[in-house]
Amino acid sequence: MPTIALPSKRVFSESRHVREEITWPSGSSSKVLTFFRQFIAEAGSTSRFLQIAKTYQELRSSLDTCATLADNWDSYGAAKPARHSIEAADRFLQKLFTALFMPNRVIPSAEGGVAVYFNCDNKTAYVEYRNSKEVILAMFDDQSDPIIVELTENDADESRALSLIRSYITS
Amino acid sequence: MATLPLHFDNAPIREAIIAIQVHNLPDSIVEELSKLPQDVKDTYPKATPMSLSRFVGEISPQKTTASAHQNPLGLQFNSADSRQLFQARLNGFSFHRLAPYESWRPFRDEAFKLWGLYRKVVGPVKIVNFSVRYVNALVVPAPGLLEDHLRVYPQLPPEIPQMLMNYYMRLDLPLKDEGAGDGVLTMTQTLLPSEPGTSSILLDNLFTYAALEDRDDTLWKRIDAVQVVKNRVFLATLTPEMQRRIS
Repeated sequence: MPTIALPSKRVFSESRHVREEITWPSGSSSKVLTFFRQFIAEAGSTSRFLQIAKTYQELRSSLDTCATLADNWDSYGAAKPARHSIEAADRFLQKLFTALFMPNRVIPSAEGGVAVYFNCDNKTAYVEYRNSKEVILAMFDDQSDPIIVELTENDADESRALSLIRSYITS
Repeated sequence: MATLPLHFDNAPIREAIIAIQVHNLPDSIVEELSKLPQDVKDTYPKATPMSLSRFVGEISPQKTTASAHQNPLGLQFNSADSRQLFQARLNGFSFHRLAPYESWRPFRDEAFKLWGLYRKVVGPVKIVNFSVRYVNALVVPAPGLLEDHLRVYPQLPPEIPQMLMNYYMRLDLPLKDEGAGDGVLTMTQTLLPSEPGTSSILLDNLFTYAALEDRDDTLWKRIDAVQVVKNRVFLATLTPEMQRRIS
């Protein structure tokens, strides 16, 4: 009888030299991605949910790329994103996908860490997971003072961040 | 027509769509569509233009040519929380409800209301077809047997590997007339991104019906009749264990 394989536990690769191209996850997750991309291309273009799922896959690939960075990746001395920063950002992405609320970008932070960015019209919000284990939520636009909230890497704070960003971005 | 009551506390519906395709309307109708925001701005404050892009390339021994065209197609309107949206296009209309999905009645009523606004703006249309689509994500422990969750799945002979790293299955099946007319069920299954220790099985049921030049009242009677069909297909696709899992 057909059995569904256990998806490989997400393992981020050790830092290596900075790669010039986006790398795809290895193992079964890459096959999921390949199938899924084909499916989107063939049939999924009219479903908003499937578009969100595709975005989620692309952001996870961006996170994989962040995980491969070496120290001084920006040539200004920035530290590579720490494993716990990457894993915390990955958990946050999963939570966002469950909530069907996708960010626009995942990028490394010059402060050392990784940041998840949301943009809508003139509004920007990001959650930055720093190597120091600080978690910063920032929301700003060209009309009012920036809002900065200090969070921690726990489930309740991630839910709080999601709620704050959603209400800020969609207001 | 009597309908089966169907409700699951943990319904796996990620998106429900009612779509109506019409014969292409003239480009000038895009101007009329831009009047829609006045009617829907309270519920759907975000309007985004949609366009149709076309790239044509031709390679021959004599010459190689390429051209690109972009034409306005319509508008997409999003609710503030982006959980509901509808598209008003030159080639049709669609209403999308993302999770959490409540039930057929409010979903169908909202689509009906928006279709009325669309019709008011664009004037007479020639309907080509309509469809009702339910995009489900069944989250199950992994590894596990597909047959524990689904009654529709690929059969594999024992001589070949039984472990699915992924699969993509699409079935096009004829639907008999049960009030909605003769139609086609397109059932698609594949594995979606999922959290560690789980698999997320996409169960995408698309019910499509030809509706050549139906009147609006006939059209919506037929759409309402799809409710029975889609419920029966959904229930029949799941094992009792899967039904308990989402209850």
